[in-house]
Amino acid sequence: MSKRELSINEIVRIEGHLDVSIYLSDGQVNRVQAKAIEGTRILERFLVGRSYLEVPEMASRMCGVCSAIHKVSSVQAVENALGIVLPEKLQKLRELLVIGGHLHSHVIHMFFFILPDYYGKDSALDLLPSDPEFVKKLIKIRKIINDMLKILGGSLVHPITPVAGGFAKPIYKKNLQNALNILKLLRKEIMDPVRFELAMGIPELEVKNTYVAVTDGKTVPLLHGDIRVFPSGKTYKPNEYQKVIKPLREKYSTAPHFLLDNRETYYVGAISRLNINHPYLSDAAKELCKEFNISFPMDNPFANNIAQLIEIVHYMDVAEQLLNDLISDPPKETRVDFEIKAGEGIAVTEAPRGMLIHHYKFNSEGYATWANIITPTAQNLKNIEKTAKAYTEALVNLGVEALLKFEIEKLVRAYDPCLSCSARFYKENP
Amino acid sequence: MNKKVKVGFFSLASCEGCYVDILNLDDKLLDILKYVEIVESRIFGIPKRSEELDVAFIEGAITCEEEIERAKEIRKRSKIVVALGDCACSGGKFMFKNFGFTGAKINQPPGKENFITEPIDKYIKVDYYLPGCPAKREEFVELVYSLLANRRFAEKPHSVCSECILYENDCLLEKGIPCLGPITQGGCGALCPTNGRGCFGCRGLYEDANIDGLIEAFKKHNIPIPDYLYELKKKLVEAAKHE
Repeated sequence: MSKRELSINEIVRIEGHLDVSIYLSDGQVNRVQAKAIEGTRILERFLVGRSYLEVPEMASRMCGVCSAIHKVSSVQAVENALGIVLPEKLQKLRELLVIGGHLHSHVIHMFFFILPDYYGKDSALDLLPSDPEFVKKLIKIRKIINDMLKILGGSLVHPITPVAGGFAKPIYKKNLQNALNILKLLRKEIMDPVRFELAMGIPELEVKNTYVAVTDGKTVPLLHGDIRVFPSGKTYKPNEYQKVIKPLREKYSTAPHFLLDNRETYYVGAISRLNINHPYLSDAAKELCKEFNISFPMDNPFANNIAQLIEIVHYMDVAEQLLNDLISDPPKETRVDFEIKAGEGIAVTEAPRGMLIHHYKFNSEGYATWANIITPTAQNLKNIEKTAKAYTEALVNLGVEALLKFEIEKLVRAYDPCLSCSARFYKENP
Repeated sequence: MNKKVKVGFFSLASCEGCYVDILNLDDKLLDILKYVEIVESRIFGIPKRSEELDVAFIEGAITCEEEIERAKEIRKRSKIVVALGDCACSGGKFMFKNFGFTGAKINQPPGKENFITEPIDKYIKVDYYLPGCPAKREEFVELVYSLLANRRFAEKPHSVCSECILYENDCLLEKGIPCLGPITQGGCGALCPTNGRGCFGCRGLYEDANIDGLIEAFKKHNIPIPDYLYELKKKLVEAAKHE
């Protein structure tokens, strides 16, 4: 009998702190644990007692990478609680901001976290000596996206402009025209690296997964829709999320884990969005799929990388459409009026890393009395364990155990995990 | 300059937004890398090496024993320690307005049931502070070049409010929008008020902050006064007694 434990500590090039432990005995993989070791930040506790104005400010501090979607989801949950309905054009502006955030996050993940793996390098900065032009191109892409975020959000990290009822400052036609020009520039620069990564392909690993994403049956939605489970096809309304998504406490992790219906692990992220909503991809994104022989649904945990690349193209198309619409008929109002009242609000949205839920209760003076936030990475932790086990088994069978650490890191990275948002579990009376 | 300055980026309990904002420096970051070598940073993909450092940038608050040990270990091998962002500078107190909030019981693994959030300077010596949520990337650049050139780097001697006035923005308080600009340490270029949303005080208290004056201004413009203003005032009175 040979029992041993392989620990991968502080996986690099992900957001936040995560350890993975693999327990092996006699060539069998017994168990895999995904341990969030990030210090606890009990953000929901801070939200209680704060006014509806401050809640989104603090909720956006969940995560520095995807702060745009946290901010917008939080504002949306506040609006839902106060019964505010946003005019269509302001809704489109919000969507634009969120798309900017998704592009920003996908670019960091695909070109700064994933890319070095293809070269066998530690860091994207290590590519500087051998290929400075390529690195400069990647940095230029980021700069372009940042310019867009600045126009729409006012700040790159933790956007300022979204507030309950609309925007804190008007976004004018000339700003939108600027954003459109920036988008055209982005399209010119980004296609080469996207094609490069698509051509590199992904490791082969088939694992049957359950996928969960927001759907509305006509687009690849980001902000509004029902919760769809694939392949079962079950659909739930946003306010039914607590019925299906159940938290699970693991002693080894500071982040909660989640199961579907108390038993099933599931995958959220770009791959879930596209496995469910792929018929509604833009024409250019569909063309690109054809060019590289990609067809959804895909049942490979690494396929999240491919889905993110396809999404980059899709979101650029959606953003261009939105910008053209808004430029031809710019929004006339900045913010709608509303009254403060007691209420409960839920926002089920799609963060870059998958489905995100913000849920608050407010008293009649507009102060939060209860808050619950479910982040994508926390939902993915159990699935990371499952697929890492399957991948370890495949590698052990192939007799390439020496590669285990490197390959498992690659697998975990494909989920685009973000531990800062997940490591917060708080209960008044444990 | 013949030898590059060795720096490390570390993150305790945080959202890593300060980190991301440094990545957002884009080409300016490449300029800095001509003089600076990043020898340890998870997000840049450079694993733990436990080397001696010239400068350690620490982001995030301290929320558990491991983080205290981690901060001490980093301090031991670094010539200069910089607290990056509000979490590291104040334990997230200004962003989250949790003055006087201690020891909530939380559902966590054994040994971590009591919640704490502390600034890193409670446990280790900090040489420079870059406040804000996130820390301002331009200030990061300013600090790096100041250190390289052996120049003095100091806090800005004015409030957010005075920066806002410089931009000729309309006063948000007069529009009935709560804004902490008059009592908040400047240096951010009044980013939030310029974008039409009140200051949240993420950079901490301005040295000559007049909290009573702000409370009066809130009253005058019919803005509900948040409890934390009174808590802050109480803290200041206590601090003055100790001096």
